[in-house]
Formats: sequence, C-alpha cells, structure tokens
Amino acid sequence: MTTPVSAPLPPPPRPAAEAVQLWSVSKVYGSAAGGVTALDDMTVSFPEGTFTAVMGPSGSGKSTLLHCAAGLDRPTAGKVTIDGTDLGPLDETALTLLRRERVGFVFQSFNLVSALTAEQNVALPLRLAGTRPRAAQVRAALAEVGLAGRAGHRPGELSGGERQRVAIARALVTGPAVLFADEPTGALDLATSRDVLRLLRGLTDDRGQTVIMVTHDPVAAAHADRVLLLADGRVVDEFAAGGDRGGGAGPAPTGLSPELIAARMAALEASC
Amino acid sequence: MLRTGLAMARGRWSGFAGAFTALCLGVALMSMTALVHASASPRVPDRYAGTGVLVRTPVAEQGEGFFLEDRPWSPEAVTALTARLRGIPGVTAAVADRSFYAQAVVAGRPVPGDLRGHGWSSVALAPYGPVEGRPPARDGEVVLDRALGISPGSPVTLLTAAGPEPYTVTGTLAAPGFHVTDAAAARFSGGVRVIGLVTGAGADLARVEGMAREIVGDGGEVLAGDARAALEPRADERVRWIGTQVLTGMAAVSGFVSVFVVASTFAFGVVQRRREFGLLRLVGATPRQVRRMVYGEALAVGAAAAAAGAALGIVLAPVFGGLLVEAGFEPPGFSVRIEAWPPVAAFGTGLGVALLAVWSASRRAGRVRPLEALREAEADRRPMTRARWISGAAFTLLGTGCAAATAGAGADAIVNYSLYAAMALILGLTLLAPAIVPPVVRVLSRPLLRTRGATGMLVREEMLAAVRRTSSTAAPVLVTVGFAVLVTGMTQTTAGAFALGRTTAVGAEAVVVPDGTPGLSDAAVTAAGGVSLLPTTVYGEGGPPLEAAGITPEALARSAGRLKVLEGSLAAGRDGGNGRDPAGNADRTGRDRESTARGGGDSGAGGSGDGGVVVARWLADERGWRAGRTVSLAFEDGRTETLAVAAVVADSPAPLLLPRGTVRAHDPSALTREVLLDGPVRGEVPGGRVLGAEAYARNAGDEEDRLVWVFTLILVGMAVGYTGLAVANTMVMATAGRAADFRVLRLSGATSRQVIGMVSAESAAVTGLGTALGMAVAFPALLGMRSGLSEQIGAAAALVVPWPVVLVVVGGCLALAVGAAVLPALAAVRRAR
Ligand SMILES: Nc1ncnc2c1ncn2[C@@H]1O[C@H](COP(=O)(O)OP(=O)(O)OP(=O)(O)O)[C@@H](O)[C@H]1O
Ligand SMILES: [Mg+2]
Repeated sequence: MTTPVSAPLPPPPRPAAEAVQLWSVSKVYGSAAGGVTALDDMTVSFPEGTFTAVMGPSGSGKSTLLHCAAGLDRPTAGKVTIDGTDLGPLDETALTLLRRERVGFVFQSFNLVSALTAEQNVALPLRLAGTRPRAAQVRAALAEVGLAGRAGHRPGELSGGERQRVAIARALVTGPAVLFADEPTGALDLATSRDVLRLLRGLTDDRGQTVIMVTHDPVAAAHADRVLLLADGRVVDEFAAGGDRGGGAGPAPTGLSPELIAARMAALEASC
Repeated sequence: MLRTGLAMARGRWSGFAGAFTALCLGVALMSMTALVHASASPRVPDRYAGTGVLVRTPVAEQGEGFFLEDRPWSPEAVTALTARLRGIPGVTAAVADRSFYAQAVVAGRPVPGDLRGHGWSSVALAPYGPVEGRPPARDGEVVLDRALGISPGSPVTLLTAAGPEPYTVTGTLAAPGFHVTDAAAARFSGGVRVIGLVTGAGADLARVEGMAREIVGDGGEVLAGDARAALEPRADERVRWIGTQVLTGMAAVSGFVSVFVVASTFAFGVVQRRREFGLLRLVGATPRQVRRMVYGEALAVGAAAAAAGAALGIVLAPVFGGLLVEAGFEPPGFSVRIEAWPPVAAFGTGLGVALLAVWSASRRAGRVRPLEALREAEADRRPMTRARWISGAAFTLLGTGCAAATAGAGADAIVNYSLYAAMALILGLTLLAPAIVPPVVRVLSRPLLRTRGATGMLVREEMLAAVRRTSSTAAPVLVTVGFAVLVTGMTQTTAGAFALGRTTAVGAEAVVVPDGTPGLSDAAVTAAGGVSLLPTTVYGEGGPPLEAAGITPEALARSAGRLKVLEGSLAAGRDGGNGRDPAGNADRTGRDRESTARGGGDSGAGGSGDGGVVVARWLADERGWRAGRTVSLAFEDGRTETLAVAAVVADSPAPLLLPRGTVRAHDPSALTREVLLDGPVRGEVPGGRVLGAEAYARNAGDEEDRLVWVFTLILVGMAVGYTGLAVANTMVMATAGRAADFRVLRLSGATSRQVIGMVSAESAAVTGLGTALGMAVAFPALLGMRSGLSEQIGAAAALVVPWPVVLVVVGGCLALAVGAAVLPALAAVRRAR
C-alpha cells in the first residue's frame, strides 16, 4: 500500500553487499484474468550477513517470495539475482546448479529423505554435486548443529527438532551464500524452537551467514536483524534492530522485541 | 549418486519386488525358450541311421508354414535309379524306401504310436536288432513293434487307408512301425522319395557318395553323414515349426508383459515418490540426475533379476523340453542341449527390457519440480496428458482393427491376430484408464452412498480421489481379464465357426471324425456315406507342391452353393463321367485304377474324360489355369496326368479339387479327415465317431485345433500369471503407500476390523472395476469378430467364451488383489497400535 505501481525502478544498491535482490517481481498463479496475484511488483533486497524475518498474514505471499527469491519458482515478471547472478536467463539445470552451490533451504517439514541416515542426508548435496563428501566435513556440519552423536540415525528415529537441525546442517554443508527457511519452527515446541532459532542467529553472528526466514511467530522474528511485513503481495512495513546486536544470542536488546513486532503486526491487520 | 540411489532403494524393496519377479520370470522364460529353440534341430531319423549314403528326390521351395511332401520319382525313374545305384562298387543293395499308413487294432481300439508301414527291405537301412520270428513272405503277413506285445504267429487287425484287414504276425522288431512285404508296401504306398544305399563292410563311403552324386545328377540329392538329418519326416518338421511358433509367441508375450509390468511398477513408484524426487531436486539434483537415478535403480534391479532369470532358464529348459514333446510341439526324441549364448542373450534382453520399461517413468521423475517436495498430499492433478490421450486412442483403434481382421484371417493366423489385438487393446485401455475410471466408479458406486456405514462412503471417495492409484491397480486386472477373455474367446469362436462353416456349407447334421486314428479309412467313409474330401498332394510343373482334395461328384454338386463358380461350371466336369450314377464311387475307383494302370502314367488321356479339376481363384490367377485349359499334374505315386480345368471357384476348401477316384488311384495311403452327414449314420463306422453338428462345432477336435488350443492356453496362462503378479505388486505398493492414511483412520476411531474391511472392499471394488473394463474391451471385439465370421461362413456363428477359464482368472485376480492389499494393511494397522 505504499509503493505505487508506476514507480520507477529504484537504483540498485551496492551489488557486492546484497546476497539476494528482487526488482519489480510479480507472481501471478493461474491465468492473468482470473489468477491470484501472490507477489505484486515487489522490490526488495537482502544484504549479506544479515538475518531477515518475513512476516505477514496467511496468504500474503511470504512463501511465494521465498520460492521466487531462492529460484525454486520463476516470477511472472521482474528480476531476481542471487549473489550477483541473474536467475532469469538460467535454464532448469543451470538454476539447479546455482541453488546447489549458493542456496540452502530449511522448511517446516518434509525436509529429509526418510530412507537415508542423518549423515547421508547431510552428505546428499555434496554427492549430488559429484564431490565425494569427507566424513570429517559431514560430521563437523552435524556437530555444529549439536547432533554429532546421531549421525547414523534415520529421520524416523529423530525428534522434530533434531530433524530440523539435520536439515539445517544439510543446508549449510555446501557453504551457501544464503539460507532460506520457511516457518522452520512452525511444527516445534517452544524450547526446541528456541534451540533452532539460536542456531540460526549464531550462524549469522559467527559466520556472517545470510538468513531469510518466514515466520508467523513474533518471538522467532525477534531473533532477526530486520523484519519485512507483507500484505497482499507487497512489502507494507519494514523495521530493523537499532545498531549492532553484538555477539549474544536471543532477542536484540535495542529494538526488536516480540512485543513491538506483535504490535506492528496487529496494526497492519487492523489497517487491512 | 548411484550409491545414494541404492541406499534409497533399500528402504523400498517391496516396490521393486514386482519388477524383479516379472523380469526374472521373463528372462527365465526367454533363456529357456531360446535354449529349447537352439536345441530344436533335426536329427538323422532312426530308420536311416544304419545307412551311410541316401538319395532323395529334389526338394522344392515351399512357403512359410507349408510342409508338404516333395514330388516323388516316377516308377520308371525309381527302377532306373536303383539299377544304376546298385552298380556302385561296395553297394550291396539300393533300397527304394516306401511308407504308408498302418495302425494295429487291439481289442477293437486303434493303438497310437508310430503309424507308418514300410517294405521289409527298408529294415536294412536301420540299425535295428534282429527280428524275432521271420520276415513277412506273402500278403497278409507283418512284422511289428515288439512293444505292442503281440507274439509271432498271432493274428492282428491292421488298419490301412483301405480299412481294417486281418494279418498274421510273423515276427517282431525292437523298432516302431509295421513291415510288410515289398510288394504289399508298393501297393499300399504312393511313390518313392528316398533310396538307401546299403554298403558292404569296409566300403569307402566317400567314394560311394561321389559316384551316387554322378549317377543322380539333378534327379535327386545325395545325403551322407549329418546331412541325413534332412530326411526327417515332414510331419516332424511341421511339429518343430509349430513348436517354434509357440516359443516365439511365448517369448513375445513374456517380453511384452514384462515391459508392461516393469514399466507400470516403475511408473507407479515414481508417482508415489514425487515428494522424494522433489526433495532431491530441492537439495540440488538436476533433472538429469533424477532420471539417471531412476535408470540406476532399474539397472540394478534389472541386472539382478536378469542374472537370476538366466540361471533359472538353464535349470528349467530340459523340463520344458520334455513338456513340449508331451504336448506335441516337438517330435519324440527331442532333448535340450545347454549352450552359452541363449542365457547370455536373454540376460541382455532382460536388461534392455528394464531400461526400456523405465524410460517413461524416468522422464516423469525428471520433470518433478522442487516445489513438489513442499506440497501436501499428492493430488491427482491432470492424470491424463495429451500424449496419453492420443496414444491410448491409437492403440485402442489398432486393437479393434486387429480384432476385426481376425475374422478374415486363416485358421493358423488367428492366434497371432488375436494376440496382437489383445496386446494393442490392453495398451490402449491402460493408457486411457485414468480418463475412464472416474465416471465408471461414480456410476458403479452410487449405491454405496445410500449405505449407512462409513465403509461405503470411504471406499467410493478414496477411489475417486486417487484416480491414478485406482487406475494403476485396476489396470492389471483389466489386462488379465481382457487378455484371457479375448484370446480364448477368439480362438474358440473361430474354431467353432469354421467347423460350423464346413457343416453348413453342405447342410450337414452330423459329422464323422476320426477316433484314435489320424484319419478315416475308405471302409469308414463307405460305412458312413455322406460328403467328404480325400486330401492329397499334387505337383504342377514348377512351383511348390500343392494341396488337393478328391471329391465325389455328388459332394461337388452339394457344395456348389459354397464354392461360388467364377468360370466354367461344376457340372461340365462330370459330363463325361459317372456323375449321374449315384453309386458311382466305388465303381469309379476301380475304373480309374484300371485306366491309370493301362495308360502307364504319363499318357493321362483317361483323366479329362473322367472329371475335371476345380481350381481355386488364387491358384488360377497364379498359374494361369483357366477353365477349359488342361493342366499336367504329378501325383503322390510319381505318375503324371493331364486333366481339364472344369471350373475356377472363389472359395474352395482346397486349392485343387479332383475327382475322388483319381486321387485314390494315385495315393493309396490318403486318409479322409471327416465325413459330413445328412442324417443319422447307418451302423458302425470303424475308427470313427459321430458328432452332431453342434457338438462338432464346439469341439472341432482335430489335431491342429487341439494344438492351437493348447498353445492358446499356454499363452493365456503365461500372460495371466504375469499380470496377476502386477495386480499383487501394485496392490502391495499402493497399500504400503497408505500406511499414514490407515493410521489417521485408526486415530479417528475406526477399529482395525473396519480398516481391513475398507481395504478389502476397496480392492474387491477395484477388481470388479478392472473385470468390468476387461469385459468391456473383450466383448465388443469378440462380437465384431463373430459378425465377420458369420458373414464369411453364411451362418450365425456362436460366440464361444470358455467361462471356466474366465472364472478362474477373475477369481484368481480377486484373491490376489484382496490378499495383496489386506496383508500390508494388517501390518500397518498393527504398527499403528
Ligand atoms: N501453487 C499455487 N497455485 C495457485 N495459487 C497459489 C499457489 N501457491 C500459492 N497460491 C496463492 O498465492 C497466495 C500467496 O500464497 P503463499 O503461499 O505465498 O502465502 P503465505 O504467505 O506463505 O501463507 P501462509 O502463511 O499461510 O503460508 C495465496 O493467496 C495462495 O492461495
Ligand atoms: Mg507459506
């Protein structure tokens, strides 16, 4: 409700500093006439080394934004770049290769191949890339998410939180430029969600990992550096934590509190 | 990547078990049939095994599937040849080998076995042991097989083409067949086709062979060593050829069905694993890698299955060879040699089949998009693609066309046509199933909505919601039932219709068929009266041997309506003959024999006046044998006659129809296949049994029809076994894939009995659906074929469907489907507790 449709393209921000950028991206499901506009001329960028939370009412286009930004789906119009590469001209195979090298995903569920052990699941992207995974590398990735002892277990033998952490380890094992997460804590209890969120926060703080996370939960969003609020396929609000967050985990002390986020959400819902 | 594929496959062995079994069986069958096929080469007949060098008449090229005897030498040529061959140094005798039909009758029943009689001198060609008793010395004496258990000095009734006659056994041999004096053999048999050179001890066979070759020139062919295998009787050669047809048919069906089963297993697996493939794509697998993975799985399953199958084939081949001999598809004495190439070739074919079968599944797997990993339950969006519509419709049309063509095909082509029709229809309907299933389910299951329990509603909605699954499971039932009904119905209906056609053509009410004998003797024909054909072989100048049949003038007159005269007239042929004399048959035979004896063979003057030749249109066109012309024909006894062409007809039971007397005069050993009667038969018919026209049409029981029926049953049994496998396989896979659903049902308050009840009801319903669709395929095709046949024979052909076979097939499918669904469901429900 803020960006006029006819607005000129904004000047591209400094290229090197942006992990993911979208210019005037639209996504329409179905035929143009009777179709659903999930993204409406959206321009947004995600700087390197930041943790962004995407929020908004159900059906506001959060997942669609994530899919388009990650190259899982193609926008109806507009341009997407990941790590400086324009996705538009890439064919399916090239897009797959790009995703494999630069992008990691974590979703609410359906993340793991149930027939493979945790270790095999983590090694899968490396195998797909044709590199022989070193056992140490895979174990290190698992250790990083605190699952060093569970390498030989299949998904069926892991708890929801553990499964989600295996998924994060797998997403990170290739050293992606950006990690996408769609409601990664949606199916988890409070304590487990907090573990997973601390893990994500820690990645940004310790390794400068770019993270883009969709969530409904203000507490989860409070872990981010920046929050985007979506409604009807547009960015309707955006706010960031004030100043440097420091090395600590947990909600930022200077600004992004769950209460604030919840209030902004409520304001948005009231205005619709 | 392959290792990942294997690791992923490990968890789903049940999905591959069906493909594995199908391929393993298919390869076993191929390796087995190939081994049998490779072993099926002719052997030197025992009767000639004691002779190093033999001469036979020149061999004329014959069309595929024809096994007529070659033209014999004329009696003069035989005399001249034997005289000159006997002069070769080292040759002690040149034996003109003669064969004729002979069969012992013991306790009033003809005894089966080797039914050939020979002259006594032929014994010198074989390495038989010594005779117990003495050789035959005069007419009415015979030496026969010791195995018959008749001791020298006893009387025996011998059946020949003339009829039963009393004989005295003068001796026994440890060898099959009947040996009479040479003079008697010359009277009973037609001409001579083989002359054996009996050599003294220490004779130089190579030299004898060379000299024989010089003497014979183009007048024959000299055979020595392994080349003597060419002397295998034409009947054995024909049996071997039929055996090859059976083997080819089996290999084709097993190839087709394994491709079908493996393809549907993998296709179904891909549908079930969409999310998994989506996840792989999400994690970074390119479409090519996904395709390669599916290929890798097929390769692994295929290699293991093909290796197991090839080994199994080696083990089974000898057993199968024995069965083929028993069923009459291979001559007695046949045994299987184990060679390397057939199993190796079968292994390669098996792998190829697996990769071919997985082609479409792999393409579909490669098209799965990464986002499909994130979708909720698999929704059956767009189960029909354009390509599926087009190819489904094309195959269905092709199948219907083939079914229609069956009506016009000859007796031997019917099995193949009906096979093609069944295959094409099955492919077509399987492709169209996702489009056909929902409306059919909706209509058939409407009554379920009115029931009070949850089961009916659940079954209906489950079947409708998962169109792909329902059609995947109904498809093999459709295939099984459709195949069984179509193929058995087609062969039975056609055989019945042809038999009916033969009886209607002459308005016959009863038919005399041979009973325990290969054909009816003249005595039987005379006792029966009625209308009959006496089959023989004749030889025009150039060209292959021709089938001909002797027919009496009365029979010809009665068949006139059926024959459709195009040129000349049937009556014209009888003008000079005894056509007006109703009792002329026996009379004419006598006169003909006299006239040929007088004419000494080649004069042929007697022929034209005695009755002309009726020529089938195709032959008249091919050879230019127009009405009014004369043609020169050589006969079974090597003599030549010139006969006038009386008529050319459109539709003849044999290429050439000759006066029966002429045929009998030249072919003393010919047997009548059947006699068509107006009314009840007067008295006993020796060696024959009387069937009413309907009974005859139902079980036209001649040897050829029996072989065709056995062949059909083998093919149907095989195909049904395979598709039964597919039924069980898809059911297991489908049910295993629904474990989560069952858990949800249990949690929402269903007892495990209710869950099992629902699963059983659903698989029974799917079986019913498949059966209904299968019948819907088969019956229009059969009815179409019947109308074609009715038109062709000019009478209403009956639709014969072997219901017992169909019932067994449907019952088997039902048991398999319910069992294969309930067992995994039970396991899932138990786990859920
Ligand atoms: N495959 C699809 N086909 C058609 N419409 C779709 C499809 N996916 C999403 N939509 C529509 O696009 C809009 C945005 O969907 P999206 O999944 O991005 O919402 P969301 O913000 O992620 O919602 P939630 O919070 O419920 O996950 C919705 O109106 C949805 O109905
Ligand atoms: Mg969403």
